Amino acid sequence: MSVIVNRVRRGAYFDSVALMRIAARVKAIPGVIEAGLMIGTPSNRELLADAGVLGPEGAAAGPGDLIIAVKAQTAAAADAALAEVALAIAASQRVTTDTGIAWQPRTLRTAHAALPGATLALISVPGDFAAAEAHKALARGLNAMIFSDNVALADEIALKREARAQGLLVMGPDCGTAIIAGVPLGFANSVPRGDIGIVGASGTGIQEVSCLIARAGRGISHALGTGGRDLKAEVGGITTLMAIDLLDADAATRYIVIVSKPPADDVARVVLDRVSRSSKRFTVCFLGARGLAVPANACAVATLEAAAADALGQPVAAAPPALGPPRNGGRFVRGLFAGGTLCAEAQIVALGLGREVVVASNVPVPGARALDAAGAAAHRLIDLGDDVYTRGRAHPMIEPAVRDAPVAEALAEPDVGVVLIDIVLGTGGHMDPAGHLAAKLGGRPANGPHIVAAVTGTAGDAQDLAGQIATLERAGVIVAPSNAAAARLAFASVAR
Amino acid sequence: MTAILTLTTIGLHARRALVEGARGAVVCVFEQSFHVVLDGHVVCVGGPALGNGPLNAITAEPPHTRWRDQGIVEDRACRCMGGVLAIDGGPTFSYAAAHVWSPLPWPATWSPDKLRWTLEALAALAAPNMPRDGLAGVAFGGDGAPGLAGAAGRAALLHTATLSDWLASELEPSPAKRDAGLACVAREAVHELMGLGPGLTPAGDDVLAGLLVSLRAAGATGAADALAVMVRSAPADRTTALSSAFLEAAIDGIPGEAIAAMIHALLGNDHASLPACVEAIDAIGHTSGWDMLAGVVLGLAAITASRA
Repeated sequence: MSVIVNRVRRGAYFDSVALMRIAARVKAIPGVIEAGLMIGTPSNRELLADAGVLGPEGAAAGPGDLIIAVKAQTAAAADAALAEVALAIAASQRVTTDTGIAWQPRTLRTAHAALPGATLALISVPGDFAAAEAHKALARGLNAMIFSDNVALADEIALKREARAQGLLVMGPDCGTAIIAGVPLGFANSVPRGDIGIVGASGTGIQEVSCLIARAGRGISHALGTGGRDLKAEVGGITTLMAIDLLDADAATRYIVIVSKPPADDVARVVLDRVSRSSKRFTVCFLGARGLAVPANACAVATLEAAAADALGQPVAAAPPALGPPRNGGRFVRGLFAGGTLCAEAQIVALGLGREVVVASNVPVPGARALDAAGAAAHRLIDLGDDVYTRGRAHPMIEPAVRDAPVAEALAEPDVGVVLIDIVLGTGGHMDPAGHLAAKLGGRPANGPHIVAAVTGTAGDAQDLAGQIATLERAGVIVAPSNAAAARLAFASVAR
Repeated sequence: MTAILTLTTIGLHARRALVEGARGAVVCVFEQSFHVVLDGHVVCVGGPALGNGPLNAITAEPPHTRWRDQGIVEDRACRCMGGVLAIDGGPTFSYAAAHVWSPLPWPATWSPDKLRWTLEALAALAAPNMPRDGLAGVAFGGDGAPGLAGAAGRAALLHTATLSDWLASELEPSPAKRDAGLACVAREAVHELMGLGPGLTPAGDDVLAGLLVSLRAAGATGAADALAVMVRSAPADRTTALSSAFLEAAIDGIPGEAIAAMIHALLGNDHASLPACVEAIDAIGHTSGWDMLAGVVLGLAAITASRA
């Protein structure tokens, strides 16, 4: 059994997109079999009749009327559908009372039509659809920032080649951070404009470097993300090279910082050759790379902190006070990171201490071990943003509760002397990550592990950098001025 | 205090409606435009994003102006006096100094062979980008949307196929080879296309408008006149009053500026301009631009076939 209900609104005028949107919403209501909203012309009445949704009331409508036709499994479902239509129509005719723009485009096409001067599309859709949307953006002459991950490597290569042929930039896939002319995109921080440009395959790497630069009183011209696979041999560094070209040609950019995991050898050669042909000064931070031979106008550095310092020409911040040995006698550091690159930087700091240090991670840098191959006697530095921890749940930068159980576990382990944590502020992130952590740390034993943290953020971020640091310090967390400094502090403590 | 806004450009048909003493009412208000009917003539008022067209009156207001917030709502009375269009409870629009817009004259000569190549280039460009839920598929192929949303497309395919058969006959240089019987079924197809589609300017009417304009532009005056007679012979309730006004402008051979630019590019074999033309058409309504383009392509393809 099914129910057919028609309503006719006299003199109700809508454009087709509005009617189709409402019809789609109505069809999503459980129990609704078919729904159509059409002006009552004879041709449309015939269509509705063919679809089996036209009743006597609709059949009597004219071209100046709107027919609302619903076929549902039950009368209740039909009533729900009619109520939804009434709400949608009322909403579409509502007069806005604030100054905001009430209308939001649903497609790239309409968004571009509404803002024809746009030059960049930010694409954040499920990975299966991201490549198609990026192709649409390129077809419209738009640069693309693909926030989505799970895009096939072949699609990434095709997109970037297509973009290069058009002189357009594809940032990503899995490009979490960019700052274009002072506008933060994705996970990014409020950083003043300045003369330092950044090209980064790493989101939190860009964030840490740009924040350290901002906190030293300088600024960023542009920070261009490339996506984590751009420097793989298959992709060939297409976006990295184009980003260098753009920053090289940008009069506002005097220094350029490149941040990435170690590239494929051939790609590294091409990138460094491009660097050598620039008249600008470069800082190259290929995290975990060894024996890198860079051209004369570049300096190779090992950490994000060193990258910022090299670009600034000065140390980034005062060294934090020394930390005594763990109160519980623990010998190991447990790092629990939201930022994958911050986790990598901490590993590099640990491996660079020059002692017999066994570092294990789920994202090991060269010299570190995989978690399951490390044995018990190892410092464990874990990237909680890795897929294995975020499958089916939000990233820890968005949902700090992802870190709750690992923190509780680390605090309970007698061998853990220091828990090392990153707090990442900025757009897209949780509004009070320090408050969340502080609440979870309340009531812990006084003789437990030290908790050391660094906050990646600026005074301009919505989360209030000073307030976040104060919250951590009130909870007994030692706050270091950079992620690298926090790692040094932590490993120095357990080495005593 | 009543706000006075300036109309900068007015289409030819809209200007004819804005005459001293004309009276009427606001009939519908959309996100980017609103429509008034003055003594039976339709005028569409909107910002620059609306684009120039025969019925359009363009203001200098910024994009995203919410006309409802300006006091413009359905059924408000309006009248023309002293060079302004005054809307009760809303702003007043000055049109005395507005520029009157009409498209450039169509080219006097063009090459059927080159036009065929240009239509092929357009099809390659358009097919991947066209919306599935309009009627563009009648010219560019594709699966269309499923269910009721695509039903109009499936119906339109039948009607446009009939129209194409008629056009092929009508454009036959030798009158002896024309099939007079096709005119009858073509008229039925035209009437079925009229009013086909969910919104205020149904997609079927857009296809017919594109077809009418393309026949005029390419100089197929006899076929254009015959099609105009079919459109005008339809009962008044076949489509909306607004859409009828658009069709009248199309019968006069006057499209909006995006469609006009596309026709100039096609007849002038200007391949380089096609992407920009497609983009401009893509910005018209939800699928309206594409639906009109489908009509243009059907018309020009029929003409090139007749001259092969």
